[in-house]
Amino acid sequence: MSKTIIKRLRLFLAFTVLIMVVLGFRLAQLQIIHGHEYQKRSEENMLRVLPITAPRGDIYDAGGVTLVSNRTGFTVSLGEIPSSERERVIQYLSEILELDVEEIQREIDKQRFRRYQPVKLKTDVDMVTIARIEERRLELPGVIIEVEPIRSYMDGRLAPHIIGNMFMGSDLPHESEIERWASQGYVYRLGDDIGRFGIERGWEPYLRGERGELLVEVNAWGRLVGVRGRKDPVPGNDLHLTLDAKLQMDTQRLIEESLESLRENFGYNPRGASVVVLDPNTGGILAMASYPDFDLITYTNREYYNEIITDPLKPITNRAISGYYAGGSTFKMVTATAALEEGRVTPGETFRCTGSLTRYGNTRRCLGVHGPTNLYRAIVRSCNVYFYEMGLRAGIDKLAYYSEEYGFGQRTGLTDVSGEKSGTVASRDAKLASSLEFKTWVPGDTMSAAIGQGFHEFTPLQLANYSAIIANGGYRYRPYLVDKAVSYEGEVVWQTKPEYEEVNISDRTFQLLQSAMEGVCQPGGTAGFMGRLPVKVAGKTGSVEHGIRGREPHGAFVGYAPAENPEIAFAVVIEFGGSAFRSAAPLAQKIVESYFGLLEEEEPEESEEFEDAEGILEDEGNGVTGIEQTG
Amino acid sequence: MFDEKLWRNFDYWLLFIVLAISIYGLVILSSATSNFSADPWYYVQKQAIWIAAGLTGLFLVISIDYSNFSRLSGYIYIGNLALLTLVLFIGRETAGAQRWIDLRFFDLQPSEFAKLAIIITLAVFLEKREGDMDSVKNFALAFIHVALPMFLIFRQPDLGTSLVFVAILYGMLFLGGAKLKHLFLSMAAGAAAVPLLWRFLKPYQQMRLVIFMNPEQDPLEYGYQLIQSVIAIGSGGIWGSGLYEGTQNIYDFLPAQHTDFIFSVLGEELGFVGAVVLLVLYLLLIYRILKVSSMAKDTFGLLICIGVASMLVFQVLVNIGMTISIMPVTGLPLPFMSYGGSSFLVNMLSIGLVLNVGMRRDKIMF
Repeated sequence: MSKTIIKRLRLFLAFTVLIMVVLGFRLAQLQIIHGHEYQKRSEENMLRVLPITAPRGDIYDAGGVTLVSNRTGFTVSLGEIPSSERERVIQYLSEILELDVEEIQREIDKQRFRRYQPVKLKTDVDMVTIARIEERRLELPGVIIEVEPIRSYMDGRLAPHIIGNMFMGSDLPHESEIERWASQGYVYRLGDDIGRFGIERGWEPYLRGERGELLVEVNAWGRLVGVRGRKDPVPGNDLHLTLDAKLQMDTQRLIEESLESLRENFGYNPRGASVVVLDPNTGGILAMASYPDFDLITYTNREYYNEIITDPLKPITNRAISGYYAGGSTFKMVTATAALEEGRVTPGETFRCTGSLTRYGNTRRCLGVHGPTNLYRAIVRSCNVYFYEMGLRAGIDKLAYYSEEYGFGQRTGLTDVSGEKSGTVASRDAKLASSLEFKTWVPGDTMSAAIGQGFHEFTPLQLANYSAIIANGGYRYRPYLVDKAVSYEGEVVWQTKPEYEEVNISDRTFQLLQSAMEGVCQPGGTAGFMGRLPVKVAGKTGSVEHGIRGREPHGAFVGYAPAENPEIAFAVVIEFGGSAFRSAAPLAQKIVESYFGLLEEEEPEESEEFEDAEGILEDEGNGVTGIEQTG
Repeated sequence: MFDEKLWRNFDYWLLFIVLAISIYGLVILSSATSNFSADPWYYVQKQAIWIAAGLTGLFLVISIDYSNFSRLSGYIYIGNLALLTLVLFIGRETAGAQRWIDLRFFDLQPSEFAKLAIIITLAVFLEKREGDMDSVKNFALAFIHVALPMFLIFRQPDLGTSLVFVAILYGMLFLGGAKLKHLFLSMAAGAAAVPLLWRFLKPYQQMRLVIFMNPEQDPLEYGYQLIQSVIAIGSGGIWGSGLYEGTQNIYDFLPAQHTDFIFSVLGEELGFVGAVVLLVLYLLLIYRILKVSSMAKDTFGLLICIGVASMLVFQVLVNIGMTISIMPVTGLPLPFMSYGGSSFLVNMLSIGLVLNVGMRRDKIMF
């Protein structure tokens, strides 16, 4: 063999060695130097995180009654369908679930890059539908029935404005809401449940809990092939409200009865009403009703929703915190306070009511001829002449000042639900800001303001809190609805401490106002019929003029009970309800009776649903709630 | 049947190495195909049968003195061209390429057998011109000798396999006495012609040839295989994730993990160590083949061995290079490792040829 050949054979071998070395170096680079990076990429390739919905916290009333909780809802989802069965399965599902085939296809398409994740087709599916699917289990490969917590209400009509509702997975939360929470550090994804209004929204961060995670392995085709790990969701915190469910329920019922009675007995046409009952020693709200209202359960029904948002009576408005009323004669304690505190009148001084008063060319009428009237008698008989005079003596600026001391013209500070309005106190500035052509304050304006007419705009919550200030002798509490939040492990994670400011009004003045308000509810007072109650009530009637021809004034009543040691303070407003004597005061009395357990209990109505067992089955989704509603 | 003297010269090491690689491949294949079908052993069994068939073929090859092939060279060359032409007409078409002739019991891939045919016929060609290979004319004739079948394979189209012929040609010319100057000049000319030839490539072939330089530019299509392969191999680290434990493999992120990308499974599951073991086995294999060639009794035998070595080295380089993204995607199987009948059989037969040369290295005395 020639030398050349041997040399070339060696070169050949050397070349082979070189190739193997190059390959080896490249392998070392990938596997040893960058091994960790590729390990990570390999994991990312196959690991996916599936969210597990955390059960939202329950909501309880002050006595521990469950107002809102979670029930088991069934969600029908679509996993992998064998392609040969695909069309048939989708067709059948569309019939059962009453969804368009195109709609189902759209949902599937949305998730074509996440095939490991079942496609949610319909949430909260009723039992009958679930049963129909289960029957055909074998014919419906790929159809998955999942259990998810769904909000459940003791009564969808109980305090709907306060409790609030959710954006559910299917009616995608507005992105602005997701952004709002994101700016506060709470992460939501499209399709997550988010509180929409009321407590559900105001306390969202406490109620939401922490999403759990399922770490799954998927293959190259996106199919779920295994479960790597699981992080259990942390349930949301339970909220304990200051609300008294029984009182709330009674209040809502009594409002309806009251309006019905006004229609039937007097031919009035009341439009709506609002009641706020709170604890004058803490500011905790015991009941807050706004009528007309709506049902939280049917709220999610599109037709129903459209109906209530277009209703001219505005059932979704919470009148208690955003309805404006001038207050009428219920305002007179403010005028009295101003005159007394400024030393413009003594409790004993009498002023003669001749049925009208003329000042600066204005003649204003009284509702009666009260003769010589002192402060006590003026409140008890609701004499306008006395208060025109006192208003003029104190002057509008002092009236405005004491109005604000009582919390008018500013938010009371209820933050548990959003939407509280600040209202307006009659003042020179208020007139300037008004749309009137003539903006200069005149004495006639002061006279109107003194008896709670004119420029005033008060919310029922402000009126109730005003009443509470008189009841507790000068503490302006911040009203609240949530007493505490308790974690699922029983730990109190939030406890509301009553907050108050002392008002700049003397004890002597409060004593005078308290005794006068007691007089109102004793024989001879404008709400003298309340004297029959075993509980001593203090209060003040009011009729609010609104300038709408042919309609009765708004009836108003503020008060507290028991007079000697107040447990509740309240405000009642009935729109177009007529004089308080007929409308607001009797309703207030009923509410006091309810609170002190003095109402004659009515026979509970028989539930009609029970008579027809099949009816329940066929209408399962609403059946459960239907039973609850009648309770 | 055999002379005792023949067995004395039988290179047991070579056979042992080939069997070691084949069994190594079988083990990796069992993982690569573990979730392919209801019967996880289906592919392993089939490949085991191919190993047996390959061994049988190998022994058939060594039973015939390789000198006989020299005499049949003309027929082999013509027959080969005929088969390659035939496949263009009656070949079964898969994925846009006509490479297989359906023989009912198995699919014959003429381009695989063409490698053997060219090794033998080119060896005869070069032996005849021994000492005259420094002439340009003979050099050019050798080119044409290989270019004809290569062109037919290129037309199938099968770019990868046609390139194997270039490797065989150069390896054999190198040892067949060609001038280095001619070799380098022709390579330079070939490189210069690439832009011209480029236009004859289909767009998908062009893409596959360049994507390895930056697979991330098309991560979902052409780059996908390479990215997944590199992730698989890289994630294997030093020791690998363990046999049957590679998620890139079992969750199907690797494409063609039992054929072209079987090395990626090896890299993922047995890591750097497992991969280097294979490289060393290949190196030993080539070393043994070259050893046999150096002891061959004639130039014909020597060149056969060189042709086989060139073919194997090139395929190892291109296949493994592809899986680690330093070589274009050409679809060449990894010798003795990739699943597949024709290529495995042909590789075994080629080893048979080498063993044949080795056994008959001594001139027989009468």
